[in-house]
Amino acid sequence: MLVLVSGEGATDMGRCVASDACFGDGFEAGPMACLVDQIAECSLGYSFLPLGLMHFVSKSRVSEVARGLKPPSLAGRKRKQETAYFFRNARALGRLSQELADDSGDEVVAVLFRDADRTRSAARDEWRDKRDSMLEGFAFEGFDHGVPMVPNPKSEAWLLCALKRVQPYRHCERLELESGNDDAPASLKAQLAEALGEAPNAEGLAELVRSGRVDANLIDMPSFIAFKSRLQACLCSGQTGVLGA
Amino acid sequence: MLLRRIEVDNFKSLDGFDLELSRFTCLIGLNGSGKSTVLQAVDFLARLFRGNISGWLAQRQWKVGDLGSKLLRKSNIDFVIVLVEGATEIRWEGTFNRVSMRCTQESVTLGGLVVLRVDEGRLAMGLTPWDGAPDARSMTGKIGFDYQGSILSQLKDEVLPTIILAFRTFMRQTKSLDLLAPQYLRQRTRDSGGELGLSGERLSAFLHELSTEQRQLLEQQLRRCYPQLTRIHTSSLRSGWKQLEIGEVFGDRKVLSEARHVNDGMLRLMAILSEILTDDQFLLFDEIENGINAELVEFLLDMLVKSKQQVLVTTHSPMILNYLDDEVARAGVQYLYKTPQGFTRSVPFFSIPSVSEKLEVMGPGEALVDTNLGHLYEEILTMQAKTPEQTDARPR
Repeated sequence: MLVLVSGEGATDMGRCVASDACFGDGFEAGPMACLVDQIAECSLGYSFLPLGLMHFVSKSRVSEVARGLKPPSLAGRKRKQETAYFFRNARALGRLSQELADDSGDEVVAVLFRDADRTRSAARDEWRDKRDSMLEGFAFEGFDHGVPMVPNPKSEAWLLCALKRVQPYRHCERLELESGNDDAPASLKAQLAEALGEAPNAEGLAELVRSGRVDANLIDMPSFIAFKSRLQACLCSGQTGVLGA
Repeated sequence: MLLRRIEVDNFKSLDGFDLELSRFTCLIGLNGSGKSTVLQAVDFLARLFRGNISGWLAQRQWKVGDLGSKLLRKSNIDFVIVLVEGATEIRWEGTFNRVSMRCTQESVTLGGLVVLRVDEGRLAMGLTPWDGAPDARSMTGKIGFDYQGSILSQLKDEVLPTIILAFRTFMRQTKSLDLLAPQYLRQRTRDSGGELGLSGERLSAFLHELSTEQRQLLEQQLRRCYPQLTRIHTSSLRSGWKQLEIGEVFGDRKVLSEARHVNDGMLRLMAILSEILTDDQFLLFDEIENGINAELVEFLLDMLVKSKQQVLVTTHSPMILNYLDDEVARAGVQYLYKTPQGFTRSVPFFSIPSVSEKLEVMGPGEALVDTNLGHLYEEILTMQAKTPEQTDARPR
């Protein structure tokens, strides 16, 4: 089984050293990719990253595929506003995952990372609409093993839950109510920097996940639990061929 | 020549308002955001260079008191227009006095040098000789006559330097069809006076006065949308009324229909396409999508984007935006919104980060319809706080 991941940049899912798609040594895994790997290891008993089983595709490549998708998806009674971006990206990654599955002859689980909102705090139902629209996007392409990785409002909230100095892993749900805007007073990004004692960087954050300092088993936030449950279900079904709840 | 920028203070909801314009500009925004007001302001500006402001007000059934903002106590209306001709920037500034109905203060600046000024009832022109304008005339003195609008509405061609004459011509050849309505398009008229009315009135006479070549070109263009159309027929009736009829063929049957029986969309398209055939340099259309079925949107947009004129339209239609190339959309789609105080502001829609990101994966129209415009204000404020030099940085 392979995992295909895609994100927004180096500080979340990671980046390729030299191309749009990569795996193994060509992939510099970011903290979110390491979280995927940590959960996978717990669920299946082995790690994808060191074995070169985690593939990565860049945001620009996913966007390129998404742009060419027909038909257009217009908001209306059946589709809420502010969800098309998530729907189309999921459709694109669904297609790319299907291609990887065909080329490799292996089962593929796809994980698509997007912040729920980088401008403000997203209300709970807005976050759910975005996540659901990713699931619909994967389903639209007939791809069953798609996992939305949509932190509310952004990945710093998940990391901060583990890394905050006062009561780590406790009362983390309230972090989902904070603004995703980096320019907001005491933004999540600023809080994370304060907790770390330095500006966060991709390599440092990834190491904190790899070392277990950020423990996926202990993060109790609705957006994280939704991601983790879906990933675990897809990983198990990737092995058994049957997708659970 | 290209109208690059306008600034407006105290015209209806426009105060502290500025707008950057491209070759093709499309205004979007919620109802009541001020889109139509912008078209009216540009039309008013254009009228300043023709004079007869009273006539303009009468045409719109407005009073002079309707011009100013209801939210302010100011009386005068201030405008800035920036145009470019090649590498030269032409800047006109004017203060319109609602009592005297003229610009009591105005100036024209060329490449940073003032070349015309009106102040305290005096005109000074050719104050500074400037490079590349050997035809500058020098003139100074008290203005001894009454007029409405800009002093440029009154001066003869021969006293104006070439570039200012070109600027005035551009403004005079700015044409607004912001009230285009089928009931006016259907009317029989005697003569057009060389132009369509704001609502499309005088269409029958306007088409009657087209040259054969222009008429054939219009028929050709319309036939791309309505293959059954054979000809546009106009005739002069007794007492000079001009009648418009459309010839169509269905199978082997030929039908001639009078304008009052022709569908709204065809009449609107005919008015828009015939306007493109004129010498006008800047065309304004409100709610361009009205009456146009989806199959014709691409054709209409192509005609407007590729026309020789500069074009400003408003729309609510994602379909219109979806037929714009990304570069045209990024440069030309301006989002209008109101501040909590009720004043209209503009921002390039695809410069808003969350919207720009959507354009990476979907068409401009999909991005519009997917965006909750009611939530954008907060993001625009954040964006402006980050880049104050790009937005609303004009001194007040």
